[in-house]
Amino acid sequence: MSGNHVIRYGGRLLVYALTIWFVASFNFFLIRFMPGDPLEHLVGEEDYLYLTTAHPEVLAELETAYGLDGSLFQQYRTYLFHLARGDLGQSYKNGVPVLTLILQRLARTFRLILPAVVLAGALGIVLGAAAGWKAGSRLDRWISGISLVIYSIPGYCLGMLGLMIFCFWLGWAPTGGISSGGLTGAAYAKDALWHMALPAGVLTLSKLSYNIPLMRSGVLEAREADYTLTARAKGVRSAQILFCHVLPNAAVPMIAVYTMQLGLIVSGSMMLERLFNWDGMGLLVYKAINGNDYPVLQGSLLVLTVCVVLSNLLSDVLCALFDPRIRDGVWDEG
Amino acid sequence: MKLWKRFFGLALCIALMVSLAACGSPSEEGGASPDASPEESQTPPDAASVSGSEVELLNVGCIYEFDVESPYCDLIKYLSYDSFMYANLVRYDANNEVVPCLCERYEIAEDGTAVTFYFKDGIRWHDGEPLTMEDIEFSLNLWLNVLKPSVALRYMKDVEVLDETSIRVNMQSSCAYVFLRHMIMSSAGCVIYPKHIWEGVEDLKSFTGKEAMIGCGPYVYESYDSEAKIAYFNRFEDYHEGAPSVKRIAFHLYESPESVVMAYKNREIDCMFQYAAGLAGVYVPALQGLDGLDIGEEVNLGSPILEFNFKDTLTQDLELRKAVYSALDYELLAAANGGEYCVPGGRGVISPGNIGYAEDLPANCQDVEEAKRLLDAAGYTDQNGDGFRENRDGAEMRIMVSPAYSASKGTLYQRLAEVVVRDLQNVGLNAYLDENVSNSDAWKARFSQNKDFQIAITSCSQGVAIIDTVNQGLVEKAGSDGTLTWNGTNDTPEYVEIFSKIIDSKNPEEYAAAADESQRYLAEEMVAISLGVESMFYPYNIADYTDWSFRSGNGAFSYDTWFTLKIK
Amino acid sequence: MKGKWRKRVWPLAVLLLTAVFAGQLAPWDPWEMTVPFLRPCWAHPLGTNDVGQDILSELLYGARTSLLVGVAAALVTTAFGSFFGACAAWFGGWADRCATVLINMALAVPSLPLVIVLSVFLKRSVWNLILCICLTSWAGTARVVRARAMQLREMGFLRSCRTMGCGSLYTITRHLLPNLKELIFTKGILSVASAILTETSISYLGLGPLTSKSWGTILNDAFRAGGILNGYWWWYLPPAACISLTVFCFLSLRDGREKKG
Repeated sequence: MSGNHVIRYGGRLLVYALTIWFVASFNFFLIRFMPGDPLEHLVGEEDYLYLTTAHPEVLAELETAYGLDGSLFQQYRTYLFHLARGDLGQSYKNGVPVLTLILQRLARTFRLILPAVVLAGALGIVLGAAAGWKAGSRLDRWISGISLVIYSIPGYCLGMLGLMIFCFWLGWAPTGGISSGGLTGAAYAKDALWHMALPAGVLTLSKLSYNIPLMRSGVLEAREADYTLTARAKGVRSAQILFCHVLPNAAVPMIAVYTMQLGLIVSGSMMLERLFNWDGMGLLVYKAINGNDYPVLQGSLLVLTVCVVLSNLLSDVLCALFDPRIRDGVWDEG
Repeated sequence: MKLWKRFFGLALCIALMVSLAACGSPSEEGGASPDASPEESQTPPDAASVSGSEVELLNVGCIYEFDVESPYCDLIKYLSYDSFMYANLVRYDANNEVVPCLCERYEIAEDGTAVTFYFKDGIRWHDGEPLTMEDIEFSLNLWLNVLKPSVALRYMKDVEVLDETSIRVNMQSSCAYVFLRHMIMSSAGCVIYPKHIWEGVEDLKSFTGKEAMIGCGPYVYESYDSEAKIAYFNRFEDYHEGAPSVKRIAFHLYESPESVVMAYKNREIDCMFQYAAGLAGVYVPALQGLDGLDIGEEVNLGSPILEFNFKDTLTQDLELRKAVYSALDYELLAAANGGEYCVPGGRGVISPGNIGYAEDLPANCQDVEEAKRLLDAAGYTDQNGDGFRENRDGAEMRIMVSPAYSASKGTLYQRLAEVVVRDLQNVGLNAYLDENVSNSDAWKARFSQNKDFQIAITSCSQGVAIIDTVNQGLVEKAGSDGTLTWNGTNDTPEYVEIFSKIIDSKNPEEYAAAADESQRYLAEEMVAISLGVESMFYPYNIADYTDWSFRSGNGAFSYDTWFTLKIK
Repeated sequence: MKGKWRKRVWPLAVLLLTAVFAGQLAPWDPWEMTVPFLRPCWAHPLGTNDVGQDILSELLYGARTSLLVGVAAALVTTAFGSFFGACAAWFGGWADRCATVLINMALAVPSLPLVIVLSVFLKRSVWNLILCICLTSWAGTARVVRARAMQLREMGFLRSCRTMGCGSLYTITRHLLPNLKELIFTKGILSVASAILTETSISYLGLGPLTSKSWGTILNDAFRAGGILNGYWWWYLPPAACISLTVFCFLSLRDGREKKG
C-alpha cells in the first residue's frame, strides 16, 4: 500500500507547491499588467512623480534594484529567485523588509487565534456532541438555534456588539490593543490576558457556531451507524456507546476542520483586528491598503496562502496519525 | 486492548479540554474584573507630587506609527516639526511665526538670497558630543544632495561655514524667508544629523537603531514597547535652552481617532499630538462629558477647497466660475465637513488664523438666483429643453467633479463632491461625479499629470497654509532651477506675479502683505473656493496640570508646553 | 414539511420585494442631504447620517446592492462551479486530476485577502466586486458537486446514456446535473449568504463600490464618523441586524431544504 501513499501525498504536496507558485505569479503579473509604470507602485507615487521630473537617473537605479529591467521572463526569474531566498521586497512606507514585518505580526495574530481555535474546538466537540446525542430534545434545539443565530452574525458585527456592551457600557474590557505597557512577569501576563479576552472571546464564539453543527451531524451519523446498532444490540450501556463508539468516530474528522480553520482564520480575524486595534496581520493588510503599500499587500497575500497550505498539510498529517482508516490506507476520505 | 487505547485517548482529550477551559477562564474573568486591571496600578503617583512642581510623566496620544528607530519614522518626522528629539535650526512660535531654536539668532540678507545662522557655544548631542558647524553643513548638504525628494531643493543653492559659530545658506532666488518657513516642515529625514554618526552611512533610510535616534533636541529617546505601542522619551538635561519641565513623555500610539477618544475616557492620556489633524467635531459629544478635560478647540488653518482647472475651456470662463460659486450650498458643505463645528469659509479662500488673513472679505454664501442669472447672461441656456444648460454654441455641456483620492479623507471629498454635483444640477448645470479616480494613481494622473479634470474637490493642508499659503497648489510656476515646481493649473502672469511676491518675501510683513493681495485676487477671479473652515480638537488635561501653551492649529502639545507645564 | 419551507421563504420574498421597490418604499432619496446627525424622529425614523442622508432609505437601497451582489455572484459561482465539477467527474482520468488540482489550489487561496488585493487594483464598482467574489468562491461548489457526481457516474442510467452514445454535453446538462439539483440548490443558497458577507465586509473596510449604498458602507460611515463612540445605535445596529437577518434567512432556508431532502 505504500505506493498508494506516495502517490496520494505526493499529489497533495504538488498541489500545495502549485498553489504557492500560482499566488506568487499572480502577484508578479498583477503589478506588471496594471496601467502605469510598475515602479510607480513600488516606489510610491509622490517620490515617483518627483523623481521622473527631477532625477530620472535615480529611477533607473531603482529599476535595476527592483529587478524591473530586462525582458518579462528575466524579471520573472529574478522575482522567483528573490522569493526563494525569502526576499519579499521592502515596504515602501518605511523600507523595512516585508518578511520581517509580516512575521512579527503573524506571531501576534496567532496569539489571538490559537486560543480561540482551541477553545472553540473543545467546546464545539462537547456542545456538538450533547446536541447530536440528544437530537430533537430541548437542549439540542437551544444549542443548534443559538449557534445558527451567532453563525449568521458576521464576526465584526459581533465584535461591535461586544465592544459596545463590555467596553462602552460596562467598562469591563479595554478598548483595544495587546497590552498596557511597562509591566513584567505575572502582571504582564494578566494584563495581556485582559486585553485578549474580548477579541478572543468573540472569535471563539463565531468559530464555535461553525463547529457545533458539524460535530452535531457527525454524532448524529455515528449514532445511527451499524456499529452503534450492534453495540446497542449487544446491550452496551448508553454512556459507553457514546464515549467509546460515537465520540471517537465523530470527533476524529473534526481534526481536519480545526487545522484548516487555523489557516483560514488568519484572514478571517482581519476585521476583528481593525475593530480591536490588535496589531496583527489583519491590521497590517488594512494599513497597507490605505497606504497603497503594494509590496506589503502582496507579501501578505502570499504568506497567508502559505499559512493555509501549511495548515492543510498539518491536517493531512494529523488525520493520518489519528484516523486508522486513513493510516492503513483502506479508506479514501475523498 | 484497542478499546482501552481509545478510552485512554479520549480521557486525555477530556483532561486537555478541562485544562484549556481552566486556562481560558482567567482570560474571561480578567475581563470581568477591571478593578484589578493594571490601568489603576499604573496611574502616576500624584500623591507625592506637589502643586507647581515639574511633571514626572506626560502621557500623549497620537495616531502615528513607530515602525523604525530612525528619523524616517512617522512619529519622529512629525515631532521634528516641533524640534522634539531632533532640533530644528528655527521653529514656529504660538502664531506660526519663525523664531530661532537651535540657532541663537538668524539674519536674512538684504536681497533675501541668503540666510545666516548664529549659534551659542556648548550645544551638545544626546551622546555628549559637542555640536559643530560641520554637523550642520553636513546635514544641509545631505538634504541637498542625497535626500532628493525634498522641499528644500526648491530653494537652496549651497552652504558655507563662516566661522566656529555661524553658517550661511545661499538660496537660488530671494526666497530665504519662505525657505525658513519651509525647512521647519520639511520631508522625512530632513533633520540636523550628528556628523560623527551618520558620516559613513550609505543608505540613510536603512540605518536604524539607537544610534540613529541621537539628536540635540530637548528630549532623548529611551525605548519603544512595540506590543503596547508606547514610545518613551526623557528630557535632555543638557539642552541648550535649559531642561524642560516635563521630565518624561510617553507617546501612546493608536490606530484611529476612536481609540484616542476612548483613551481620554479611560484617562490613559493627558493630551494628544497630531500634526495638523486634531479630533474632528463628531467626537465632541463624547468628549464633553469628561471631567477635567478642556476640549482644546483649534481652527484648522487649511481647508477643503474646490479647484477649477484653468486648462479646461469651460472652467476657464470667469462667468461660469462665478455661477458655480453662487450655486453652492455652503452651509451643507460645512456641515458635511465638520457638523456644527465647521462654518462656511471666506471668499479669499485662506482660512482665518493664517498670517495675512484678509478679514474684510465676505463669507461664502449661496445665491441660486444669482447663479442662474449669471449663466443666462453668459449665454449658457437650455436650448433643447432637457432641463440642462448647453454650451454657448448649443453643444452638450457636462461638468465633471472629481473628488481627490485620500486614504483618510477620501470619503469626505466624495461626500463634498456629491453636494457640489447636486447644487450644480439645481442651477441647470449637468454635473456628474467622476468615478474614475478611486485610487491614488488614477487621481494623481488626472490631477497632476494629465490635468484633465474640470472641478476638483481637494484640500489645502494646514502645512501648506502655514508655509506658503493655499496658492501653492493652484499656481503653475517653474522654480528657479527651471523645473516645474508649483504644479497647479493657473499660469496667468498676474497671478504668478502675486504668488512670487509671497515666495520672495523677506520678512513677516512682506509675507502678510503678499498673502493679503493674493486673497483679493482669488476672491475676484474665483481661482478656487473654500468649502468650509473647520474646528479641530486637541483635548488636554486641566485637572492635574496647569500652564499649558499652544501653537495655533496644533493644540496644547507644543514646544512651549514642554517647558511651562506644571502640576496643578 | 412543505408548509414549513414556505414559512422560511417569505422573509426572503419580503427582502426581495424591498430591494426591487426600494425606490417606492424609501421615504427619502438616500443621496439627498438634509440636516446631519438627526436622532430618530417622524420624518426620519432612523435618523440621518453625517451628511444628512436618511438612514432608513439608505438601508432600503442597501438591500438592493447586497441582494444584487449576493444573488449575481452566487448564480455565476454555482453555475460555473457545478458545471466544472460535473465535467471533471464525467470525463474522469487526467481531466479529473487536473480539475482536482485546480479546485484544491483555489480552495487554498485565502479568499478575503485576495478579494481585497484585487479590489485595491481594480476600479471600484459593483460588477468588479461580483467578479472578485466569483473568482474566489467557485471552487467550494465544484468540489462538492464533483464528489457526488463521481458516485452518480457509475449508476445505471448514466451508463446507459454512455452506451447509447449520447454526447457528453447532453448527458451532463440533461442527466447528470438535474440529478444533483438538490445539492446544487443548497450549495447555491450558501453561496448567496457568503457572497453577501464578503460584500458587506469589503464595504465595511471602505473598499466597496463608490456610489451605491450598501449595508457595509453604512457601517463604515458609522464607524468612521464616530457613530459607535457617541452611541448612535440607530445608525449602526440596523445595518448589522439587516446583514445578520438576511444571512440567517438564507441559512435557515438551507436547513429546511436539507431536512426535507
